[in-house]
Amino acid sequence: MPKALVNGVRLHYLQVGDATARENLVMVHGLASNLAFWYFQYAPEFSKRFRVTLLDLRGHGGSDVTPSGYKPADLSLDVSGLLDHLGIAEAHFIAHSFGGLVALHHARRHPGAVRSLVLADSHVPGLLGVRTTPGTWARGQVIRPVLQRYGIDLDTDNPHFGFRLLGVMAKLRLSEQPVPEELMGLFGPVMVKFGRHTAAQWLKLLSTTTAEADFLDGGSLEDDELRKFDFPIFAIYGDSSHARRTGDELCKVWPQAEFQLMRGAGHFFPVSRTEELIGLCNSFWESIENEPRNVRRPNDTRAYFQSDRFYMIDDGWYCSLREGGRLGPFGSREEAATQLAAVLAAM
Amino acid sequence: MSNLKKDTPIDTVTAVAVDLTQDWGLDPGTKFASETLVAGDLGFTSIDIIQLCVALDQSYETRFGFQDLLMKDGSYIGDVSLGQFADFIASRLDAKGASA
Repeated sequence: MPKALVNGVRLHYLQVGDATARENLVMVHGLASNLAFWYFQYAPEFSKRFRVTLLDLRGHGGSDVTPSGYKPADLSLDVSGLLDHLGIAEAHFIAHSFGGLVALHHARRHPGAVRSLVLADSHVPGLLGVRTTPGTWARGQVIRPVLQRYGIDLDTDNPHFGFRLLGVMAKLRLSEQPVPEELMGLFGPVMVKFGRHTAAQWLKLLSTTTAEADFLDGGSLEDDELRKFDFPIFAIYGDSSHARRTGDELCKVWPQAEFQLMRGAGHFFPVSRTEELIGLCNSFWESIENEPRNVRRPNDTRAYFQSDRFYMIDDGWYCSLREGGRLGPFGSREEAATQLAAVLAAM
Repeated sequence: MSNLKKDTPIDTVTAVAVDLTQDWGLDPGTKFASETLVAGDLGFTSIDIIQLCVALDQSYETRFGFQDLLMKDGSYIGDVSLGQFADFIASRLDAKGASA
């Protein structure tokens, strides 16, 4: 598969779909992952709409490992360089987890080159609210005693819990011991993404380069910089994810954006809720084509979007508004959609 | 990689797998047979499997949709043999022929 020499690093990438497609989509994976995260399930679907470009971030997959250069801002320069190399002047982006930070840094540097962004469960440590009031992770109350039972010393309220967990899971994968069912039940999606080779590659990356310090650095993206973004944004968070706190804060920073909570989902919903995410993304991109209102305007403080969308409790259908209200129960999803549309139109 | 398409899918899959692994320093006794598992026996990672799929698509100048072979209920299945790749290609070629 092709590699491009960018910033002195050979980046492994893959393009799927019609080279003459009108628009481009760039897919950015998270930490300890690679382009396979998106390749089999997402790229075929999204290539019906876009020419899709997937890449392995520096130090991941088939891209070079370098002694340093793993801060999100550094990695965003790799992305920019690759797009220059491929002659892609502007693109839609979808990014999961840490990949979202990379995409945000790319957008900060080249805001005009981003057609839209789907941000999937990205923790943005520079946000004021995240820094000053990190809060308690409710799901952590469930996870902590399980970790303790297996002698795993991780603070679930630590802002870097997810990162630390990757290291623990990688070591578990490489150990000769079977992973206890109870841990698999909690962290199955993390374990699934770790083949033995990927786990070993991850641990080696952390132990032989500046990657760990660079990843934890998180960059300096702050609220005011994020507010400048004027392209359509769709931010999706798992309602039991450790990154959910970031989603709450971004709601305040981006009143023009679409937000969605994935009900009952954790951090790895792109793995566990594939079809749902594909549908949401397609709806978002269609809305951009049909409703340019999603582009932020100066002093636009409207809050016309909602989260949680439609869900079922017992036999009733409900929908939630970002402002916290819940509508329902309705007899069908269609009825809920009609009612929600009426409420939004009146806003 | 040049086009390695052979007369039968299993021969093509084998040729592509041999080509991909030629610089890996595999044990000289490594067998490339129908029952050979790409991860378990040849040490393929997820990226290598994608590379195999892309090379097979290119050899037949089509997109087979290998996700239907490799994914089940949103997760990668444990491992796949060269023979399973070949059978999958044969079934897709048959379906294509039937619909032509």
